[in-house]
Order: sequence, then structure tokens, then C-alpha cells
Amino acid sequence: MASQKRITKELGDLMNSPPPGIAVALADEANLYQWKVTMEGPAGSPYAGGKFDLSINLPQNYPFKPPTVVFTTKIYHPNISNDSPPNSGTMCLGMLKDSEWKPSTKMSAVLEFARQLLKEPNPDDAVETKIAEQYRNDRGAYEKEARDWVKRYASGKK
Amino acid sequence: MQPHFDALFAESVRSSPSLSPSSSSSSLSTHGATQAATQGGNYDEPPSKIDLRALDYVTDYDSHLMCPICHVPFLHPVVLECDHTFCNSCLKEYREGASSGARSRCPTCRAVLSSGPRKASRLIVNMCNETKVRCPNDDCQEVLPRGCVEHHATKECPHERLRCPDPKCDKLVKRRNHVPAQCIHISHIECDCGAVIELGKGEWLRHKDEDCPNTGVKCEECGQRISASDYPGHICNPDDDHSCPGKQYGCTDDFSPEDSEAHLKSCPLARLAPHLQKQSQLLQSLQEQLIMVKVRNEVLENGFEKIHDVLNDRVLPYVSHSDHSPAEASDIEEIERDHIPSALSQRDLLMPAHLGDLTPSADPDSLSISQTQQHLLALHESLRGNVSNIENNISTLTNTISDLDARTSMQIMNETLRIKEDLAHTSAALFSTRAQVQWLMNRERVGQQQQAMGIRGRAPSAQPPVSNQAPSARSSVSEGGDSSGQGQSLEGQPSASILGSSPSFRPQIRRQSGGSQERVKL
Ligand SMILES: [Zn+2]
Ligand SMILES: [Zn+2]
Ligand SMILES: [Zn+2]
Ligand SMILES: [Zn+2]
Ligand SMILES: [Zn+2]
Ligand SMILES: [Zn+2]
Ligand SMILES: [Zn+2]
Repeated sequence: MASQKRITKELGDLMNSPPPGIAVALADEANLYQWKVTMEGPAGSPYAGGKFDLSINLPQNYPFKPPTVVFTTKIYHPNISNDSPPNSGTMCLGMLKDSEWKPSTKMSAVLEFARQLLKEPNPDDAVETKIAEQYRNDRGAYEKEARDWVKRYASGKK
Repeated sequence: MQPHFDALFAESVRSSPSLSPSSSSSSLSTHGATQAATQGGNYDEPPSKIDLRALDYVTDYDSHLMCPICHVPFLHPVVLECDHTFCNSCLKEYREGASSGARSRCPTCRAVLSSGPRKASRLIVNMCNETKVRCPNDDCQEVLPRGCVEHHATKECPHERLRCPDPKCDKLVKRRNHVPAQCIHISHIECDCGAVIELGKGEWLRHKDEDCPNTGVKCEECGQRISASDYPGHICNPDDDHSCPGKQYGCTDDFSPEDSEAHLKSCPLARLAPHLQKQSQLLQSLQEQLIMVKVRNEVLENGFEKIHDVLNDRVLPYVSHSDHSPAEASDIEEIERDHIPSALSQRDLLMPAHLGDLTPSADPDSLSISQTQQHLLALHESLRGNVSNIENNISTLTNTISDLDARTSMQIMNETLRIKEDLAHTSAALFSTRAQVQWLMNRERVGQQQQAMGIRGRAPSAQPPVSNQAPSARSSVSEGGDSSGQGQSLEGQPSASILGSSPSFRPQIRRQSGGSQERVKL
């Protein structure tokens, strides 16, 4: 159970000194492999002011296999699927692909990368091609739509 | 410290292939052998009894010494061509799970590798094994370099839990309490705090109340339980006690002193606490009462058993033998055998019915008391059953007695009838004798008169032969009457008991016949 030791250690580090705008907790106290992350939209991006919930699932053979990162809060973003479940919210992140994943990558790096992606979408590796197109061609409309979605889904009030 | 050097030495030997497998230590030889066998790059490491990655690393270690895969200071580190270092086992695990393409790449930089990994330098190995860890055994606070923790934890740690030497006992015993070839669990008990206490001397309670650092002692002022070691410095401040009164009943909420009032209002356990406290006090007193009742119950049961034994051994035999003749007694014994054993089997449950009054009158919703009452009621019922058994017994006895009564009175009637018949026969015989005697007397009288009339002068000379004649006739008559009476009694009464009584009849008959003779004489 090398994975447990490493996960405990990483989780402890993330909780003791969380990266800016990111809060990590266990979704279920008894399950080390299921994390609940709250991410603040980065300032200077259309997501600023929003609070996004992420669900992170670590595989049993972590760190040899990548974790899966899912936005449970709806978000208007070229790299994050807004399909109907079960694909909704899955994040397309190069480093999280099975072939790209490195066992030495830490969860803090994954989360920081995800937050960075909110600030700087990567339209070349998009899952929502329409949003990617809009992002490339009509930045203003994209930003307005994204802000709208934040107001609707990620304003923190239910 | 010796094992530490051993470990370091082992590592240093491991990293210098020049040392042959013929080295003195057996672990060294396995290193050498596996190394020769796995040129491709996988080094087998000695199997560890403890998980060195799961240890508690007490000091922060240089992040450069941390394996990027397991995030623990390298264990048996290997270096790849690209100069990235990993634990041997981490790299192995990575390669086992990876696709064939990824297998020949570095897990960190993805550089394609053409040769296998080589061992990391002795310096790195020693630095990693120098990191301080805590002994993994519970209760052991020992902090020591990782390189010697295994030796400590499995060879010398006083808190290591060993199997009890008794193969029948499946408990564990700490090394420091381990006595070779002896199970201490029968006569001793091991407290959570690690102390071993001999049983049966009151030491256990004393330990729990006074010595044990886990349960501790109770402060006389504030009632708080503090460990014995903290007691001298303990300061009571019940005013500062903002813990919820429902805490001991399951409230686990933590709150600051300012919030205590709000919590007291909202916490259902806090509101229930006085009630629960009363309940637990009541429960305790009821338990004490129950114990007393049990003791009394036992005493009474013993007493009752004794009474039962006395009844069985002394009273019943007398009852069965005193009133009846032996023939009937056997009948009664049979009845007894049918009924008494069932009573004996219930003896355990037998209880005097009045015992119910001894149960303390208590809260009706108390479970234990109601159980006692139920128990007593059950006893009462079984007693009632017993009494009805005895009643049945008595009624069968009465039946037998009245039966016997009827039989005896029948026999007496029969006997009286026979005696009456006898008497009738006897009186008939007597009557005939009397008639005969009268006839003879008449003849004599006639003869005398004739003589008196015929020869008056010499009358006295004729008298003696007549007087001689009379007694002989008399005796023959009496004998005849006697024998006839005897014959009648013989044919009329075959029973031995009556035969036995026949001699008493004979003199009577004689007397009667004698009386009649006398009467006749007069
Ligand atoms: Zn490692
Ligand atoms: Zn590398
Ligand atoms: Zn120890
Ligand atoms: Zn034992
Ligand atoms: Zn103790
Ligand atoms: Zn006190
Ligand atoms: Zn409470």
C-alpha cells in the first residue's frame, strides 16, 4: 500500500499549506481516494468570483495511474466538458492522460495546473470545440457567456 | 547502535559489486547472488518485515532524498541513465503497470533508456537510512534512524507484540512481558497501558483506580479523571468547565466557551443529561438490589432444597409404611415413584411463594427488576404445579386408603358372617345335646321312679351304678358336641387366620357346653 502513504502525505501537505484559491478535503472520511476540492475562479479571468467544486478520484494504483478530475459545478470552458452526465465536467488535461501521466507528478501540481487552465484556456486541446472556436474568434462573447454561467451556477448561493 | 552500523555496512557492501557472495553475512550473499542474476536491472531487496514507507518520519527530510513515486526517502535507490533516482521497488512497480512503450522510459522525464538502472551511491543510501523514524510498534516512542528501525522493531523493542508461547492461547503479549514457555493470560491481565497485573489479588481494580495512566485517578474536588502522572499538577477549575453535560452520554460537539450557552440550548443530550444521570443512578441502585436479591434467592433456594430432601428422606417413607399392611404399601410406593421424581427434577426451580414479597419495590420500568419478578413468577408457577402434583398424590393416596378400607370392612363382614354361622351351628349342636341329655335324664328319672315305686326298701343300694353311669354319658355327649363343632369350623373356614383363632373357640364351646350341662344338672 505504497499509494496510501503517498496520498496521506500529499493530502496532509495540501491541507496544511494549500495553494492559493484551492481548498482540499476528503469527500468521505473513510475513503482516502476520493477528494473534494473547492477552487476559486482566478482573478483576471471571466471565472473570478466563482466557486467551483471539483471531484477528484485517485486510482488504487496511484501514482502509477493518473487521477481523474471532474468539475461538479457547471462551467463554460473549452477544456471542460458540459455534456450530460456521466461525462459532464470531465477535464481534458494533457498531463492527466494515461500516456502522459508521470508518477512523480504531485496532486498540488495537478490542481495548480487546473486553476491555471481557467485563466488560460487551451483551445488546441479542447473538448468543447464550439467554445474553443468562440474563444479564438470572439473573445468578448466567450467571456460574457462564461461570466453568465458563473453567475448562474458558481455564485456560491444555491 | 550496533545494528545501525550493520545496516550501513550492508548497504555499503551492496553498492560495491567487488565484494563476492562469499561474505560472512547471509543477507550480503543474497544481495550478491541476485545482483548477478538480474543484470537487466531489477534488484531484489531483502524482504522487510515492516513497511518502511508507512513509518512515521519525525523530522523533515531533504526533498531531494524523496522518491518521486512514493514520496519517502529512497529505499534501495537505483539511478537511471537520465540520472533520475527511484526506489528499486517503485521503479519495478511502475514498469509492471506500464505499457511496453513506457516501460523503457524514465517515469519522470520520459527519456528512452537503453540500459538498466544502477545502484545509487552509498552516500545517498546512507543519507536516506539516516532519516529519523518512530518505532512502528504501538506505545513505543523510540525514534531512531530508519536503517536500524527494523532490527529494533522486530528484535528488541519491548513493545513488540509477540505470540503467546502457549499454542492454545491466541493472544499477543508484549516482548517485555513475554515469559518463555508460559502463558501469562491465565493468571495475569495486560492493561491497555502496558502494565501486567496479577489477577485475584485486587490489584487490577487498584491499578485501574490509582496507577493506570490511561484511566487515571478521580479528582476529589472536581470529579475529573486525570492520569496518575498528571495528578500532582492538576488544578481544579470547575468554573472553566464548558464541556457539554451530555458529553458522557455521547455528545461529541466541540465548542468554544462563548458558544456553550447556545450549545446547551440546542444540544438534546445536554437537556437529557439530568434525566440520564438519574437513570444511571437508578440503574446502579437497581443493580445493587438485584445482587442482594440474587444472594437471598440463593440462600432460600438452598434452604428449600434442604427441606425438600428432609421431606423425601424422612417424612415420605414413614407415611408410606406406617398406615398400611405390607401388601398395600407396595402399591403406594409405585404411586410415589410416579410422582415424586418429577417434583425432584423441578427442585431447582422450587421457591417459596412468599419470596415474591422480598423483591424490593422499585421502578416498574426497570428492566432488571421486572426480569427478577418474571423469574420469581415463573418459580411461583412451578411451585404451584408442584403443589398440584402433591395434591394429586394425596388424592390418589386417599383413594387407595378408602379402597383398602372397603376391602378390610368386607373381610371383617365376611368373617363376622362366618362366625355367626359357626355360632348358629354350635348352638344347634348344643340344642341337640341338650335334647339328648334331657332324654337321658328323663329316662333316668323314669327308672328311678320305677325303682322307687317297685323296691322302696333297698333303693339306696341301686344308686351307685346310676351315679357312675351319668358322668360317662355326660363326658361322651360333651365329646360328641365338641367334635361336631370342630368339624363345622374346619369345613367353614379354610383361612389360616381363622384357623389360628380356632383354639380360642374351643374352650368357649366347652365352657358353653359345660354351662349347659350345669344348667341341665340344676
Ligand atoms: Zn520510492
Ligand atoms: Zn529521468
Ligand atoms: Zn520500539
Ligand atoms: Zn496466553
Ligand atoms: Zn493500565
Ligand atoms: Zn480536580
Ligand atoms: Zn452537547
